[in-house]
Amino acid sequence: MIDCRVNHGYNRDIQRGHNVEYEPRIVGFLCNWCAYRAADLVGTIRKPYTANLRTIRCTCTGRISPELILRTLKAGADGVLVVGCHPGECHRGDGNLKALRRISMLRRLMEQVGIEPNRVQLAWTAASEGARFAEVADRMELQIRQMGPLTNDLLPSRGASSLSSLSGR
Amino acid sequence: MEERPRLAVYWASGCGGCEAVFLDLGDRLLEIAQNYEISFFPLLCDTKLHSVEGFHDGAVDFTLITGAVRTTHDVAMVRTLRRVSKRLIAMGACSQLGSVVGLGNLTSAAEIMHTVYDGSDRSGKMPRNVTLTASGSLELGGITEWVRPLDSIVPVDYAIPGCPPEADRLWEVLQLLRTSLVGDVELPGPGAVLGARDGTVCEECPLPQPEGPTRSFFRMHQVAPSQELCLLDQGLICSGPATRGGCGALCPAAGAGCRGCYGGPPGIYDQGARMMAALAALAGTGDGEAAETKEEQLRKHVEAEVSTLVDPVGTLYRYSFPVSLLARLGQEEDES
Repeated sequence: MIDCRVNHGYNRDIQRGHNVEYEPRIVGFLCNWCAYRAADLVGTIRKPYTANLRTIRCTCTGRISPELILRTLKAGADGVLVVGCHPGECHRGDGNLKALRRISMLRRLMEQVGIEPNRVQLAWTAASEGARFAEVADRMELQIRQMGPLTNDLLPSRGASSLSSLSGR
Repeated sequence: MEERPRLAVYWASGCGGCEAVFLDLGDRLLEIAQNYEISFFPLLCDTKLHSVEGFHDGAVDFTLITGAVRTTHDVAMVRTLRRVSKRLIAMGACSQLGSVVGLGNLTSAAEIMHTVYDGSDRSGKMPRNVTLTASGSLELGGITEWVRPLDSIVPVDYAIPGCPPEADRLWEVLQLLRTSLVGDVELPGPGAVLGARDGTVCEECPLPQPEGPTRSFFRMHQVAPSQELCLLDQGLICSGPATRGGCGALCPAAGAGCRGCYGGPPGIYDQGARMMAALAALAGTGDGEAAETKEEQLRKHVEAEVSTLVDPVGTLYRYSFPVSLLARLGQEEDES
């Protein structure tokens, strides 16, 4: 289990008046065949890039469900970056296109409830594109840093007295 | 005469559909009156709140609550009923998940009041909580900021899903509850869902399996559904793949997509998100897409197709929005 709770501590420190610099926490789901190798390559070519991305290797971006992304955000991540193979180059045929469709739909729903859609992004890199991977990660880190911790200003507040609800089955 | 189990039924913020299910029981309604002593059922009997408040703790064997918790009155009522009840059962989707009433969480309470009472075509008279009369002041509670399912207010023993639950399922549950007191059957542990199956609606659906691909979506009035194809293949949203079965797939069999009222099947955290995953899996990949060379064009193309789904939150989360992960993102919550 990843400890994604840093922002809860961050919010608490802010409330107590401590001066802490906000560090976004981004979880990256990288496909084994292209994106993870690209991320590996960034190390090999010794290119510095953001330290705010926690990467998780997965079989294919076609297996990253909207449910998993929402749970990652609920667990305390400020953003989720899904990186797969370029369209037409998916190791498993069309997993990256399924991911594209799922993430496009999820971003639309996030927008409707008042959460910045750019907190969830999908990118494509080839195994040889280490530099491109670093650019994608750096750009997302900058965007999330500007957005700050995940809050929802559009929906009414549940109120502090809320208990756990039955969805936590 | 032998002692009968005591039953209470209370209608919180709902539409009355769950109460209509009692009528759907037909002659069996009379059997309820024979088998149970009705302690509190404002719709059917002249039972007063103060008589319930006078009950000692756990005096009522089974209490069914329908409707979501939307008003301060609802909150007070369910707390009282929880205290006097041995088993509290959330009946219907509103009580279990928040349901259509819970889509009110997309807007603030103040905005709802403004739209209903203060819109341009209305009188502009806002309702008051207190009215002074010659004989004293009358008080009414207000609406709460956030629509809640029952179990976020009080501990709930069981849920009977559905909008509304099927009459046959309700009957089975009532029989199960009654016989459990005689010792013939044992009730499941708290938290169980009664009157439903563990599988999905698709498993009960008489229509053929989906073949795909489904790329764009239509609303019900835009197509005449065929009985020869899965509704998803026809571009109609059917939440069957992400919805608990037990209803007998009545809606898809009648040519209307499953609305999702039984909630997600076991093991699902977020019904709407699971439905998004299912829709993408069915979309398949046409030749056009795989051959699309310009990646940005491909993105725009898919986004345009996805945007043919009108009101995605109201469609995919029609019954489960208040309990969804999506609605709870960025919200402070007590640790359970």
